[in-house]
Amino acid sequence: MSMVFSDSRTFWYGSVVFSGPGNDKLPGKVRSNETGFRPMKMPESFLSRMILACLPFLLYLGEQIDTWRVAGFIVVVYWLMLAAFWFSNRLFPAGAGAQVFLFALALLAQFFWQSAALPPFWILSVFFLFPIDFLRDRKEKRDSKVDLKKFSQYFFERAMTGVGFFIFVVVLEMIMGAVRSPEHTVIEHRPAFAFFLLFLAAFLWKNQPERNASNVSGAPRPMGSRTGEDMTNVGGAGKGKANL
Amino acid sequence: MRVPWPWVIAIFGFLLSIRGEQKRGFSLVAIWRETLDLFLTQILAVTLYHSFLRWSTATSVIEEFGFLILWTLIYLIAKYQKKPDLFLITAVLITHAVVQVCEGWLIQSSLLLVIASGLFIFQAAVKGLRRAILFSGIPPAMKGWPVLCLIAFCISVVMSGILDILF
Repeated sequence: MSMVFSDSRTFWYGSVVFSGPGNDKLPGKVRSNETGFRPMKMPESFLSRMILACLPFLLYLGEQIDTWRVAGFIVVVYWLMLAAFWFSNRLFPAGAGAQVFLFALALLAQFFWQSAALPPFWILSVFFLFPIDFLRDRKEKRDSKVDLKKFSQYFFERAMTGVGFFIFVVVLEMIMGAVRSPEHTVIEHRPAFAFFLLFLAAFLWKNQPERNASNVSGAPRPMGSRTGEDMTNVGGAGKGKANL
Repeated sequence: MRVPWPWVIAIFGFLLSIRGEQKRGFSLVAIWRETLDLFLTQILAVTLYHSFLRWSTATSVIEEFGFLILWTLIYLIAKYQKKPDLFLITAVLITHAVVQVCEGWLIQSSLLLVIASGLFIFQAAVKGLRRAILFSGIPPAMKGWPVLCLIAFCISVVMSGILDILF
């Protein structure tokens, strides 16, 4: 059982490694395996973010709300806040960025509750999608100027997280909608079904053949073994670490 | 606003059990204290909110900006207790939902108590089962998220019967 948490910010597309502020290796270190095959490998933490962000979203399923639009809304707010805080983080005193982010979430939740009567559960999804660690960095560690190249690489990685979240919740909502009874009893009173679907998604994600075939060392790994990042670590950033 | 309370208990219970304050090992007392902290924070915020409504002349403004007021109150209480961000957001979202759905301090407090009890049971079950299977022979393919979701599924199945009666 692993007891080490690693929330790596690394994302492979093909064999190019992109990195965000949470990673020291910048940018684009090219790797290749023996076969020349350039696999697309998403980090293990990607699934953690998807599941954690998806859970609060499930509270909208009983509402008379177009869940596709809510999912899109969450992704757009996430992207806008990411862009806004990437540039404005330098303006805040050390460590204050995370608090400003939380209050920005509260203001947005108040605004959309007041104007559109949207229940504010969506802020928890944005909170889990958002890489809040870089807002907690100490002032002296930050760059003095904005590096647009670094930003574009970082934002591409985060944009993919948003797209992944949208696809994940839409597929989940379609499956749950397909089994929905006319009285909505399944949706309203059976969170167990949602957890079962999440179990299936996590199991399939963890045991996808490409993941096991495309490890960097080339050595064969058993089904479900760890590759690169630790799948068992589901804690995320900050104090709340949990391992199994 | 319609709030599916069984979902609220299952989802927030699951999130708190895997992302909340983590203590070394499994401690029922620690889970109880955390849940009690959450409940008392919510009760204090609701009481202050009702005091503002009662003693202020601008009742409609307070009702209109209820989310921000609850957020500020709970933020201050959570910071005083040095609680993590998830505690703050969870407390605010549940309290706001309760304030919107129910009227009257007593009913709101009762609902908060039921939710806190549900969260405690769910968290204790998740953490207890995780502890129980820690040294068992789980196949590698099931470790991590799959087994966590499976545990949550089993607990939700058991709890859904009780929650159906309550809600």
